[in-house]
Amino acid sequence: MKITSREFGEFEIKDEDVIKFNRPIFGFEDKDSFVILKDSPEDDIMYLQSIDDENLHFIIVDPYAILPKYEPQLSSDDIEVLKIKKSEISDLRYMLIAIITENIENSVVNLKNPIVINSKNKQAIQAMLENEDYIMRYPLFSNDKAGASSC
Amino acid sequence: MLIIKRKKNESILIGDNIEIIISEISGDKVKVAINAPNDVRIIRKEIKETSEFNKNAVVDLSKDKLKALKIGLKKMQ
Repeated sequence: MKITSREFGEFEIKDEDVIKFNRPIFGFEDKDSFVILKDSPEDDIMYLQSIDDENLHFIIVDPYAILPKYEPQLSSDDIEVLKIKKSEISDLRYMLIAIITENIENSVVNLKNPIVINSKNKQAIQAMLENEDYIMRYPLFSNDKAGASSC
Repeated sequence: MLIIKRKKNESILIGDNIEIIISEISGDKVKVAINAPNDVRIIRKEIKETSEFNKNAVVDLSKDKLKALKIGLKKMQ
């Protein structure tokens, strides 16, 4: 499948790379297919690019690059939408949506509503986590490496 | 702000067409049932906040800026 991205231009992706949202990203109800783009495989910061709209992408960050102790607790509603069994929770991958500000030092990531992707079948949702101490605007460049306990 | 105490199965009327029923209470959770006309939009407040966050997240980001971000993240680790 050929897709176009404003940043990466036109390129080919495989069907199995397409991430399908079982429930759309909040506020983007008419877009359900995305692909993750990165400059190099080891990057912790990536683009979540819409397949239908070349101008729509989110900047996403691997939570473990910021908070090694990130422990998302999914609600039973979200587990149902993802159509997974409790035993399949280890197949899930998490990404945080970032707001990159003009001065990048003030950029934030949303710990409360990660993008959750089933690595086996690429079905995804944006979760509404049960963790009460995970905030929506957590500094991307935080010095608190101990964990989210103090946020 | 108006504050009203309600028990299980009791309800509140808002205007002529909206009814909010307390259907279940357990621990720190309350289940409410809402009767309202179809054109009344009902969403959880946190979903509206997340939608707003997401809309603010869609911005132009040049590759140069992305590079600066990557360097920043590497430095932190």
